[in-house]
Amino acid sequence: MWRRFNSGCNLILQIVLFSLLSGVPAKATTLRADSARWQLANQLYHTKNYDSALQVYHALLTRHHNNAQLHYNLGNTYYRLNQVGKSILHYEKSLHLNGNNKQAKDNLQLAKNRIQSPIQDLTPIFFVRWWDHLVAAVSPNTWALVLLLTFISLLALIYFGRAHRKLIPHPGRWISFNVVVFAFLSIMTWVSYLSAVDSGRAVVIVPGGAFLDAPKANGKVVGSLPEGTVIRVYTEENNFIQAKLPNGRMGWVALTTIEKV
Amino acid sequence: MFWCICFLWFQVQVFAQEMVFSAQANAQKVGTKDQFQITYTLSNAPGASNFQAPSFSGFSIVGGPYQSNNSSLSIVNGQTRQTSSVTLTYVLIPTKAGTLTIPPAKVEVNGRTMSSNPVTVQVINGSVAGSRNMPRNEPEDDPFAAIRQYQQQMRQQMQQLQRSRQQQAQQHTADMESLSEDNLARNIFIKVEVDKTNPYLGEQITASYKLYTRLPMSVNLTQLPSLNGFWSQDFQIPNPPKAREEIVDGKRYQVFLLKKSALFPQQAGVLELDAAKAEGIVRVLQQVKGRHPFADDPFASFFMDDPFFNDDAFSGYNYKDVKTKLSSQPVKITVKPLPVQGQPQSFTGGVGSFQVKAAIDKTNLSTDEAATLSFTVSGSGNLKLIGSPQVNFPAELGIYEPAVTDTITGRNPAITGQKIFTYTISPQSPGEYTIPSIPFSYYDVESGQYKTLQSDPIKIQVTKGKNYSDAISANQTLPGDIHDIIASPLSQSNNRFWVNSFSYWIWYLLGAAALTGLLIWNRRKEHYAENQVLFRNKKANKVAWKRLSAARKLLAQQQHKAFYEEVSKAVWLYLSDKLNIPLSSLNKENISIELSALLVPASQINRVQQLILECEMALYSPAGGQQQRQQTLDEAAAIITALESVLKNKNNVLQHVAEI
Repeated sequence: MWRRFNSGCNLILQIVLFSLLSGVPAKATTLRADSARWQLANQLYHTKNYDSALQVYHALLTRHHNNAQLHYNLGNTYYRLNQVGKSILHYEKSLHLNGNNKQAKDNLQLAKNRIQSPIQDLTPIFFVRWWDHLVAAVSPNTWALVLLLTFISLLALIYFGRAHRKLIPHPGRWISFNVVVFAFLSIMTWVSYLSAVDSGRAVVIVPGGAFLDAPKANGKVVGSLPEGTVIRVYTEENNFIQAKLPNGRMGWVALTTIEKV
Repeated sequence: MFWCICFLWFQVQVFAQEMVFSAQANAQKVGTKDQFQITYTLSNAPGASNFQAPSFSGFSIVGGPYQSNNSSLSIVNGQTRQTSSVTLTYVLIPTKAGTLTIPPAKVEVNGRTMSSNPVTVQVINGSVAGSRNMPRNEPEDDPFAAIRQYQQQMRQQMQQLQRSRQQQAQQHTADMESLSEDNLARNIFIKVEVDKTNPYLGEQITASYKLYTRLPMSVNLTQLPSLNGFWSQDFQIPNPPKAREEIVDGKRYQVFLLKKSALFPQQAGVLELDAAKAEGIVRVLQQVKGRHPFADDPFASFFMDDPFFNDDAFSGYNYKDVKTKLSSQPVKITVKPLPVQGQPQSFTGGVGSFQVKAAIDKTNLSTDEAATLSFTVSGSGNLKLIGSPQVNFPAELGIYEPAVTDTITGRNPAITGQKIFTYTISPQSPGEYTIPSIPFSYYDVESGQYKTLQSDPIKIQVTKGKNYSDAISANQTLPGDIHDIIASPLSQSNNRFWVNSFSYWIWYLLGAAALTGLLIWNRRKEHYAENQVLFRNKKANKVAWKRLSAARKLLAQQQHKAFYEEVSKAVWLYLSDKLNIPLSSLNKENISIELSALLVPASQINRVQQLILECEMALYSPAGGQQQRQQTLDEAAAIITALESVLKNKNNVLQHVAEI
C-alpha cells in the first residue's frame, strides 16, 4: 500500500518539476550580449569614461532592473559624476534587492555624506530597528520555504494523529502549536514579500525639491529637500506623494522631484 | 539778444548838425584781468541803421552791447540847436597781452557807410589797478579830445534837453524791459547733453544736465530727472557749483553743471530722459528814468550829464528781479537690443570691457576650515548689471551662491570698477580638488562682438580635520572613497518570488490533497474490514441452514459420519461468523465465554455445549439410531434459531464490537 502511494507521489512530483523547468526561458543569445555589455560598461568605468559607462549600464537596466550588482555599479557611476541623488537612489535599490552587500552600505553612506545640508536622521526605536533587520535579513523565499515545510509537517501531524494514534501521544497539542507557528510564518512571509516588492521609500533627485503642506502646486512651501534625501512614501494624490522625512516631518512632494526605490 | 540794433528816429526837429561816429575805450592801458568799456557814439545821424560791430579779436565780451539814446536842445546866440546821439557800450576783457587794436565799427546812415575810428589798447599781464583814470589826465593821447571839447560846448544845451530826455527814457526803459524778459529763455536755460542717443542695451551713455545763463540769478533745482529704465551712476559735482564759461553762438554763458550721470539702459526700446526743473529769481537788466540827485539842477548836471564822466547818468539802467521756471527738453534714447547671434552660454549681461581673475585665500585647508574664493570682474561697463557666472563646482567642496560686492573706482569718462563674487568653500571630505576655470562673457561694443574670458583653474588640497574624523568614527569606519564596482560576471537576476509563483502554491494543494487522499484511503480500508464482519454475521444463519439442510439429505442417505460432520460445521461456522472469531482459534471454552459476554442465556450455552459434545462423540463412536440423528438435527436447528433470535437483539452490541 505504501509503495502505491509513493509511486503516485513521484508522478505528481515529476509533473511539478517539469512545469517549473519549462517556466525558465532559455534566451542564450541575449544573455551573451548582455554579459558583453556588462564587461564593456565596467571597462568604461575603469577608464573613467563615466558618461559612456552610464549609458551602457542604463541599456542593461531595461532587462535587469532587478539586479543588485547592476544598481550598485550604477550608483558608483553616478557618484563619480557628482549626481548625489541618483547615486543614492541606485545604492538604495541595490540594497533593497540584496540587503547584505557591505560595499553598497559603505558607498551609500559616503554618498549620503555628500548631501548638501542634509536633514538630520531620526534613529528609530530598538524594536522597530529589530523588525526592519528581521524583515531585511531573511528573504521572502526563505520565509516561503519554511512556511511550506511547516505546512507539510502540519499535514503529517494530522495524518499520523488520525491514522496511527499510538505513534503520537497528544496529536491535538502538536497540531495547535504547529498552526500557531504556521500563522506567524505566513504573516512574516507576506510582510517580507510586500517590503521586497515595494520598499516604500523614494529619493529626492533634484536639488532643493519643495516640501509642501498640501498636494497642490500652489501649496505652501514648508521646507526644501536637499538632493539625495531618502523619504518614506505614503499615499499618492494628483502627482504628489505624501512623504515622511528622515526627521519625522510629514508633507507633500511633487512626483517629479523624486524617484521611488 | 541785443544783437539787433534798432533804428532810431528822433521826431524832434533838428538843425543841420555835423554827423559823428566815434569809438572810445575808457582805458588805454588794461590788464588781462581787467574789464574795460568801449563805447561807440553816433551823433546827429537820424537815419542810422545796420550797425556792424568789429570783431573783438583778442578780447572777450563780458557785457553789452548796452544801448542808450541821448538828445539835447541848445540855444546858443539865439539859435536853437538840437543834437541827438546813440551810444553802444561793450564791456570787454582782453585775452592776451600786447598792443591790441580794435578795428573800426560800421554803420549805415542814409545809404552811406560810416566807419568809426580804430581803438588801440595796451594790454599787460595781470591787473592795472588805479590806472583807470590815468588816460584822462593826458589829453594829448586822447583821440577823442576834439569830441570831448565839442561835447563840453554842448553842456549847456544838454541841460536844456533834460526834460524831454526823461520822457524818452521812459519809453525806452519799457522797451528794454520787455526785450529782456522776452529773451529770458535765450539767456537762461537748462540743456541736456548726451554723448550717444542710440546705445546698446547695457552700454554706457553719459548725460549732463547744464544750466546756461548770461544773467545773475539765484536758482534752485526743484526736480531732478528720475531716469527710469536706466541704471545710473552719478558723477561728482562740485559743491557749491562752480561756473564755467562757454561760448555758444559767439555768446559767452556762465555754465553750471547740475547733474552728470553715467546711464546704462536696462531695457531695449525707446527710453526718455525726463526733464530737470529749476525755479528761481533772475536779475534782468532794466532801463530806468534818469534819476539822480542833481537831475533838476542845471549847474550840478553840468558834469553829471557828461556820458564819458558818468556812465550811470548816461545809460540810466537798473536791475529787476524776475521769477522764472526752467525746464530741460526731454531727450529720447533709442536702445538697441544686444545681438542674439553668437551669444555665449556664459553671458550674464555684461557690456563694456572687462578682465577677470579668480583667487583663493588658501589652497591647503582641512575639512574644518573654510576658504574664500573670489572671482573678480574688473573693467568699465555696466558692472552693477552683471549676473553671477555659471560654475560647476565639485559637490564635495560645499560651494553655494556667492556674495556679490561691487565697487566703482573711476568715473571718467566711463564707469570703471570691479565686481567681486565671493564663494565660501567648506569642503566636506578630504582630497585634492580642482576649482574649474570660471567662464565670463561680455559684449564688447567697440568691436561689436561677444568676448569670453576664462579664469585660471585652482587646485586645492583638503586634509581631514578634527571634526571630520569625529563625525565619521561616531558613525562607522568608512573608506575615504567609494568601493570599486563589482566586475564579476553579470548574474542572471533571480528575483522571482515564490509567493508569486503558481508552482509554490501547488505544493500546498498537493499536500492537502495527499492528506485527504490518505485519510480517505485509510477510512475505506477500515470500512471494508468492518463490512466483512457484518456480512458474515448476516450470512451466518443462512449458511448454517444450508448446512443443516445438507445434513438432512445425508441423514436420509444413512451417511452418519458425513451427517455429523455437516452438523458440527454448521454450528462451528455459525459461531465463528457470529462471534467474529476465526475457526482455528475457536474452542468450547471461548465459545461459552464469548456467548455469555453476548448475554446469551446460560441454558442455551449449555445446549450448544451439549450439541458440540454429542457431535464430537458421534464422529468418533458412531452409535445411536436414525431417531437419535433426527433428534440431533432438530436440536441443532433449534439452537441456531434460538441463538439467532438472541444475537439479533444484541446486533447493535455486535456492531460496536466489530467497529472496535
